[in-house]
Amino acid sequence: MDRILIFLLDSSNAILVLMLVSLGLAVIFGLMNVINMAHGEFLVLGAYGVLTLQWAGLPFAACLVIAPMLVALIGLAAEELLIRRTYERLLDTILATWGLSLVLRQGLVLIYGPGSHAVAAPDMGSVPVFGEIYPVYRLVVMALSAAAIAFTFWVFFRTALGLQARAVIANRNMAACLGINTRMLDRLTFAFGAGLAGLAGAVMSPLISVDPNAGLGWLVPGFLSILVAGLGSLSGPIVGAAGVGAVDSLAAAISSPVWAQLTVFVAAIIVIRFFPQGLMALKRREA
Amino acid sequence: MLEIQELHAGYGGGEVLRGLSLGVAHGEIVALLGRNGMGKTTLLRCIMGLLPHAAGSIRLEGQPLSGLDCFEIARRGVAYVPQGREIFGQLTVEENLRLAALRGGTIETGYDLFPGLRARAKDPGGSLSGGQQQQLAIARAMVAKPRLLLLDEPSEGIQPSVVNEIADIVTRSVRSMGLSVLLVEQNTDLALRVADRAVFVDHGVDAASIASRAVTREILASYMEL
Ligand SMILES: Nc1ncnc2c1ncn2[C@@H]1O[C@H](COP(=O)(O)OP(=O)(O)OP(=O)(O)O)[C@@H](O)[C@H]1O
Ligand SMILES: [Mg+2]
Repeated sequence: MDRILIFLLDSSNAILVLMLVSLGLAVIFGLMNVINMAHGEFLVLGAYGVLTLQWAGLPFAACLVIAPMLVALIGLAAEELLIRRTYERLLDTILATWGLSLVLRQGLVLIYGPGSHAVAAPDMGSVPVFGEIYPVYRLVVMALSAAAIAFTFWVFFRTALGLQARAVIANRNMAACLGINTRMLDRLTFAFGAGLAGLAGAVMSPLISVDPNAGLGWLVPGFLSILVAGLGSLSGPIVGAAGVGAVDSLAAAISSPVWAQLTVFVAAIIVIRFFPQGLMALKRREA
Repeated sequence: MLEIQELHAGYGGGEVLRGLSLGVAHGEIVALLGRNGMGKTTLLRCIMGLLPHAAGSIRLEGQPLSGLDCFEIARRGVAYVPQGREIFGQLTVEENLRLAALRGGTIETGYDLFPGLRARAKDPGGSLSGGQQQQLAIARAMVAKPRLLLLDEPSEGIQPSVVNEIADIVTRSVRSMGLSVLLVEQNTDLALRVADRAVFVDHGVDAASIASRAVTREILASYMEL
């Protein structure tokens, strides 16, 4: 019984972080129609950011705040220098961001070497949860992820900035006709999406092995999450990540992580085969 | 307040506007009339900065608009009610209006114009009837406190009784605020009733500019009939 509860906690942990990753992907795709193949690398950059800031002597909490902001800045630069030149050509966005992912990965190899690094876990101890001892930091990861997800929804559905972003998603030209600076929103959104990935990488950094190739393991389930639930809404990636994360955790518990990934893939293919619009079958954006 | 000179513009395939010139004075309502496909919508899209022009000039209060982004032109006081309305169907009525009010207007302007919209404030724009959607599109334009209003076929797809009511409300409001209006309209009776002057467009050029009162059946027939 206790084992099951711990399993559920671990799964929730993985699912919440996956939600952050796919939310970032979906925000960028929704506003800009950019499929961001470098999203996994943005996540890894968040982890390396924590590593570097820790080496520089900053306390872990400060690293958690600063690293995602640095990733957002890198996202901003990437948007300005590269991505904006590919708008409206979906295939080009894939190629450009894939190229960006290669550059970022090789950059990390050059600076930090090809091997993996470990981020010192903050010493927060453990607490009894349902009669089992559970590390506090994992609870912190969950809380931070949930807070970031809630913050994203708040921005999009409760602020003037979010209202403008939703207008641009629905009808870019008409939004511009109302005086909305759509270029500015593109920049902000791309930076925001990159920052979400950076945050996911930063909070996960003490729990994973930080190496230049760690991104792919997040990119694929992130994409599957938004494909399974359907594009065109913010709740899609949340639902999708819950499904993908749950299938993955369950299969990993029963067999092995490799089999789990295969199971997720097959399950996603089946879902997409029968629900090409995604499980939520939401209406695609107008025009 | 709006001066367009020798405008050339088109889409990849070919030129649609072939040296069109046109002016709208302060507080003047100008009707832009012409057969289907003569380039009326194209002209409005050029003014709004949604379509670049190849040659010629567009000036607002003496300032050239060429090269400005659409959002900058909007912020200079040009509001656009496009053909087909293009309200945000998934956003609520109030959100549609709030978007236009972000830069210094108030959504009350919109509700005062069309009080019926207030009852639908929390409903998605897409759930409104055609007439109400047109009201919303016009209210959205007026909320932004424009100096120049561009209306593209506002009566299209709306019941005749509703059309006249909307036209009266808009005309009264526009006159009291001293707004300049460029109106594209297939319903020539309606257009000539509200406009001071009619400009006839034929194959991408301004073929004639005539005071509304002086437009005769013969003139209409020569420019409007196939
Ligand atoms: N996006 C586009 N791409 C290519 N050609 C276009 C496009 N939009 C319009 N055209 C062409 O440009 C010409 C002028 O179109 P426009 O929409 O300006 O005419 P209009 O006077 O507004 O007609 P209507 O009364 O039907 O609205 C037409 O021949 C049309 O086929
Ligand atoms: Mg037209």
